[in-house]
Amino acid sequence: MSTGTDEDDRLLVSRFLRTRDESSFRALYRRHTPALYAFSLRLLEHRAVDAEDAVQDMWIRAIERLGGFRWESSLRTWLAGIAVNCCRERSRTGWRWVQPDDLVLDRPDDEAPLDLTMAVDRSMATLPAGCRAVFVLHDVEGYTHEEIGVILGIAPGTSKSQLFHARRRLRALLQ
Amino acid sequence: MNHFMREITPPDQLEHRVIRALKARALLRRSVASRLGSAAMVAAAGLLLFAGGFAAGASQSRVGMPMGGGGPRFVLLLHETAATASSGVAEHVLVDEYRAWARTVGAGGHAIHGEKLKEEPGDTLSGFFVIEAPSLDAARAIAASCPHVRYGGRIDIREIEPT
Repeated sequence: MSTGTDEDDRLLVSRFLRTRDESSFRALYRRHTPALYAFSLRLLEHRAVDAEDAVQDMWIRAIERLGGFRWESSLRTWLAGIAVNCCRERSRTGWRWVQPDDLVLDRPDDEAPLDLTMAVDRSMATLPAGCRAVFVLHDVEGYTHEEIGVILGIAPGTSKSQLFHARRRLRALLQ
Repeated sequence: MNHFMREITPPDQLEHRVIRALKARALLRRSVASRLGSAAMVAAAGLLLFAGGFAAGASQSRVGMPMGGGGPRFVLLLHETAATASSGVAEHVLVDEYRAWARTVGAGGHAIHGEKLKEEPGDTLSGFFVIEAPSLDAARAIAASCPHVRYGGRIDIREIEPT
């Protein structure tokens, strides 16, 4: 996913690595945290305390490793990958994927995007955590399946099948 | 159509929390304004570290020897922090530790010379060492072994331009 301002990220990271000072970090924090906090809240069933802990851990790990970041993805995608792991460690239901046997293409519209509403936002908490992560990353955050594969460490095809299942489950819940 | 809020403003306190956590792990320096704010603590503790102890080891090793071995030289700039100011360790213990460290470095073949600096209001720089080391990485390794780091102080390393 491109934030459209990758060049700004490079400048901010370069400045931070040069100075390691608080103001440079605050610039990075304020640029990326609102999106990553929203993302973490959704992955953690809107448990604010856990989401805040996950975001804090994400920044600690990110800053520890930032010098080795090679810009093979956008900074936001890289941070999201770390955030997913931090959320995964706090998942109370375990990190489950929907099994391939569960996926039966019985309705053509299951491949179509959902009309996303707040009701969906609430209902997505019932999805298995891994499946929910794919749904949030794709339908909420706008990542491609290739990017989701990088973030979650799965094949793009797995991302597609999990998204299909998430949409089908959510449609069933909302009917 | 996507009606989700893709960004949610986190609580203000989260930013403070994250910064505190990064500082606690020495992943973040304090801001200039913050450093200036702790000047009083700096004056109380840091500048004593070199006092009376540093040149004394010259006869035992390369400590205090004039530079001039021909290899790269680096200056280690020692900055005080709130952590060094509040370490609670007795002055004579600190002096002994720094002296022992300097002797060890000198005995390892790295000529070393150090001075304490006069206090400057608002400045955290309390002293420096000049060392000879084959590379910046070697200088970093030497700096990392300095007791100043263990007490939470900050060391900036700069290579000296050969003349």
